[in-house]
Amino acid sequence: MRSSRARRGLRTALAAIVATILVATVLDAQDLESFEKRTTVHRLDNGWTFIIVERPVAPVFSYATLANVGSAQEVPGITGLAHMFEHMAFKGTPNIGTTDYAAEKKALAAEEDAYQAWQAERLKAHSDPDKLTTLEKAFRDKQKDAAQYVVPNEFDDILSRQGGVGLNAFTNADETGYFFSLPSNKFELFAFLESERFLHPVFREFYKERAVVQEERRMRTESQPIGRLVEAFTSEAFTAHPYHHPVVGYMSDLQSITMTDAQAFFNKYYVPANLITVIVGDVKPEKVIPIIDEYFGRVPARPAPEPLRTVEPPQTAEREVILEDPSQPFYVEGYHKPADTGSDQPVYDAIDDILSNGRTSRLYRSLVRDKKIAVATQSFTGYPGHKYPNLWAVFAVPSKGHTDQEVASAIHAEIDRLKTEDVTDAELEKFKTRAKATLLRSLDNNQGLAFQLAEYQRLYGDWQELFRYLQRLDKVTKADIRRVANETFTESNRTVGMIVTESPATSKKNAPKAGGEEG
Amino acid sequence: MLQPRTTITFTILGLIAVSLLMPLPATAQATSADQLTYPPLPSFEFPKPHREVLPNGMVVLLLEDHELPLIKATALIRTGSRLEPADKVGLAELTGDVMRSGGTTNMNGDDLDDFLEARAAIIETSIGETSGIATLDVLKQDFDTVLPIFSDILRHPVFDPDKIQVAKTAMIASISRQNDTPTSILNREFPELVYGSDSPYARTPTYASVANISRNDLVDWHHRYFHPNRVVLGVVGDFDSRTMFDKIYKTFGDWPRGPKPLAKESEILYDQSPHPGVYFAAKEDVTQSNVRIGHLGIEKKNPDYYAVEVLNEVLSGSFASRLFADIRTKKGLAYAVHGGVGSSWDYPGLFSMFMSTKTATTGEGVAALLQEARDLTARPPTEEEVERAKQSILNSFVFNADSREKVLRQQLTFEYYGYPLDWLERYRKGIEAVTVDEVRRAAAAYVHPNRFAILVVGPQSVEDQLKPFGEVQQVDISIPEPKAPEVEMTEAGAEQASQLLDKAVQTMGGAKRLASIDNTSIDGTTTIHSPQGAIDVKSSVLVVYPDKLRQEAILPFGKIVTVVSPDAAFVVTPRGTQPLPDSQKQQVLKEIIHDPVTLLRARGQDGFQASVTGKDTVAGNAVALVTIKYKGETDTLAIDPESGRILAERYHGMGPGGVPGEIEKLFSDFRKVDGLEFPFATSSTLNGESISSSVVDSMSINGEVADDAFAPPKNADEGDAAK
Repeated sequence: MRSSRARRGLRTALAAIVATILVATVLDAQDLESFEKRTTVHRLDNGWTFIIVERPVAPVFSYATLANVGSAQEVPGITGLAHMFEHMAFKGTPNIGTTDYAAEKKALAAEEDAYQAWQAERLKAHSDPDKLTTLEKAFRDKQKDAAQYVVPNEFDDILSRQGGVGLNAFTNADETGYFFSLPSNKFELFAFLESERFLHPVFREFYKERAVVQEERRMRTESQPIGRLVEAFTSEAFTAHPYHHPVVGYMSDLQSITMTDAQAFFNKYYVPANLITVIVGDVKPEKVIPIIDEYFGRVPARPAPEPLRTVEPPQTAEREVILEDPSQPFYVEGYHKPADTGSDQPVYDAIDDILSNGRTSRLYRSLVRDKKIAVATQSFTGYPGHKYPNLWAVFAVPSKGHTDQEVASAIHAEIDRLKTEDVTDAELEKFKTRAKATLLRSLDNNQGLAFQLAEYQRLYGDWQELFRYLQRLDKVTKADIRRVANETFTESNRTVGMIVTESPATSKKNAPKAGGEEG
Repeated sequence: MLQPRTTITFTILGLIAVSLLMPLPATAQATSADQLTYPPLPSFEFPKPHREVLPNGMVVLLLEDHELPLIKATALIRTGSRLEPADKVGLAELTGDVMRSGGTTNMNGDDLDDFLEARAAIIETSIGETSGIATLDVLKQDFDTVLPIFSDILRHPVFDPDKIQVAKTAMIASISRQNDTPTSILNREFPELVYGSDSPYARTPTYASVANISRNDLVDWHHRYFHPNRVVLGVVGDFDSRTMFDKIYKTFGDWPRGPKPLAKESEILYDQSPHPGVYFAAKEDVTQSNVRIGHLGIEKKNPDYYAVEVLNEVLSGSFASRLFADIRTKKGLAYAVHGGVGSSWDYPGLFSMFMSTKTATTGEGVAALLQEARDLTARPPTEEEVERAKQSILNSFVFNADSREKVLRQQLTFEYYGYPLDWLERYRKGIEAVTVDEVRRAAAAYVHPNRFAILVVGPQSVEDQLKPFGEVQQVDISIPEPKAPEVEMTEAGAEQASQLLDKAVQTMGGAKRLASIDNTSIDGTTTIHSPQGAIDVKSSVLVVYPDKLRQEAILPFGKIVTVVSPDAAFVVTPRGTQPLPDSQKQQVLKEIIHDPVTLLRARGQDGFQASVTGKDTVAGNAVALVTIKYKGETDTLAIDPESGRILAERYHGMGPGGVPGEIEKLFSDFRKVDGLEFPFATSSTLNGESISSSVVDSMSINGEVADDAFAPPKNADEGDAAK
């Protein structure tokens, strides 16, 4: 950080952090200070934020770009689109992945027109089967036409030839992330590829890739009992807010989203002001910033999208989802809590740690060690996202011969203890020690650091929050924990999901069909 | 945040600085990657650990890293699950887990957990297929207090029985869940097809093998394998090497050397002959089929290893590789697809190709994978493909050195498996030297479609799609159930049991009347306690002893008729008639055996054993427990010695939902029917939780049995249509 005004503010923050560290005698102040000295924030005129961290352990660097758009930005009809766009970001641009963009552009437009015509007929209440056949054939022909210009997977090909590793991306309810690592002498390649894909992505092979995403849904959700449960559980817990629907999208939407939808989504949400890129490794800001300006400065500023309006209404009664399945039992329950930017977030983290972090945790000792009714149990906060009000949740895997009801009772007993008794000094201290150690341990790899800093920058608007958060953790008191437990862990605030092993007597599968074709 | 003005100033300064030092780069940005040129990569080295060997044989590797105040240690121990006896599969894993959780001679498991977690210190131990591993991750300031604990865990674990129980419970739960997802079935069954189901590289724990493992086994395992001359210890972090070595010598120096490892430990059995064929495992609750195809792979010491690595990159290394580009990108058949010639350090890996695709395209997917395998020789890797693959590997080679922890782990591995310590440098040179011809020869030598085992996991309905590839063999993935715990049968106990059973027979109506029972018909109401609440079911059950049953049950959504006989086993629902799965048929036959009428009449038959095994109280009455073994089942009857009534029955069986456990039935409301006494109320629990309670509305003995009572309905789809 180079500006003098920023440096003064930083000094104050640093002093506070240093004081905390000296008191805790856990972290070496020298390392933290040097870390902050080697971090540069650089915002482009178009609003794109870059953070550069020098960590010259080896001649390599990693980066992470976070786009502040996730499945929560979707509406019915286009669920799965944020994730679909993530796939599209690997398909290239006018300069990557094509033999002749001028011709391809026309062919893609024709393909899209043909698809729209076919879909319009297909979605009619009474579609004409002959027309459908003709329109589908027309679309397949246009699809073939457009495909002839494709240089498949060129984005990845270029990158991996040059020694890029770890190329991947992810989408969740809050954000979409892109990342890879490169040898440090290839920084300009990163700048070229990354700026190209967000300047003018081309939605080539869109409908092929849609089929791939459908397979992903079948793999992650439909063919896994816990995947099916979690999808049902999440939509039960959220009724109005878009956290309700799955990130991968519903199958019928995945069968009808179009290239046009994707382009509109990209235009609306992938504006530079919505993008944060963090680069960590053997990079010098004075060398890389000019390259960043040159390539990423090409992206024109666009207005920021309107923020999400809907807030999940308070839950007024317990909700339950029961999945009958041939597989073994599984239990999860969740309670609504404020967004992670709320002031009590450190308290929720403390509750997580005390309830389920490690073998000394309350849930482990009760359910796994003593009662032996579960083989695993874990609580977590920020489900399915962190940005908006979300869930604090806990799951348990019953041991053989034990039931969901048994683990539910044991979990409730522990949660109730938090409401009526103070936690111990030792538990609170352990939480703080572990949180600090976790942060320290996370500073030793480029990719992990890039993710973390990007995350804090996106969520809080300031990467330094990664370190400031420790001070907030230190302030958590026993009274805080009791207060938050009493506010949160009420029956009417609870949603339950469970897998119950199927039996013929209770299985609805033996019930007569409602009539009409099966799903 | 930075003000724009500052940014611009800084950037200009930056540019000027750069221009003074080196020639200006091209000012126009590239419009194609080909236009980019790169400065040379700064040179880098693989840091070399400091290596010493203690007098007791322990190898120590130390690597300093002063970036953060942390210290991490990893010990590799010469052991592995592949050394287990066949009847105790799971022993190595349990030993590895309980070494850590079970405490030491100095600190019990819970105190150990408290001590470590309070300091955010992490020690973990586990034993895998080819090695044991113990790790330590600690803040520098705590190293001196935690190192002795790490040593204790390796040298003096106490294997607390309660912690063994926790670990066994987890292993048993895993076994019960081993068919819950398609990939867990696929990845368990495939090694069996290639290595052979008896091979240590394919075996997985079963309920029987876990039950066979005692605390002594764990103690013996630890005693046999945990010696310093079988350990390679690596430490990386913020320390001075000399001081660290002294600490290690002080802590581990007095660990007595153990016997030399036997040569026969490295003879590992696996089936070297291939088992080509098409294998199918049915799993219904999925919308995709999972496919795995292959045969044996190679060891890393194979001289063709480098050519094979390049071949693997061509086949599956990146989005531009053949499998990804053809099967995912071009055909859209899969999200997940990959494959290659697998290699392990000291035994052959697996050549394997994998994909998952929607059920409708199962056949197409298998055909596509087979075509890719054949194309490795029919459409051999081109100069371009090989060049791209080599570049990928070589240009990313620097990442092998991007962390000191990673470098130390590599060195530990080479040390453990007896590979040269400069193996990575040889790897780089080896890859550089690979030619197109070598890659093509590797494809011909190590990929043999005529030896492929093709394994598919998916719904039964996809089996037809596999027929074009060969005769389809069904793979049995049923999980063999655990046996009931052994009960001691003594001669004195047998004598007492005989007397009690005499009394029970008398109370029931006498031996002659009992023997005259040909069939019983019971109409009753059962309340099932399910998670959805209580469900009342009216039912009629006809039992023709010893092996025919017909049950008609009226459930909330309609009538279900279950029929079991030696000729047929089926269930009729409002949706139609379906065959009863064999496992459920066996359950019904077992229930008939558990019927006290069956048991009391079985006295004197071959294989019938009874012994008094204890005392108890049921509903306030003192009872004697008589355990009976008959036809593979074990039953305990709680008999009131005064009245001769059987007040309860306990056995290991299946509750609703296929959950096995301890079943207890309580009998009450005894009434006479045709001179015989039966309980008219029964309540059942599973593992202590109530599952159902029934009352008899009416009962008849030796009533007329309709000719077609056990025959399937004439119209297969009739179902409940008659109603």
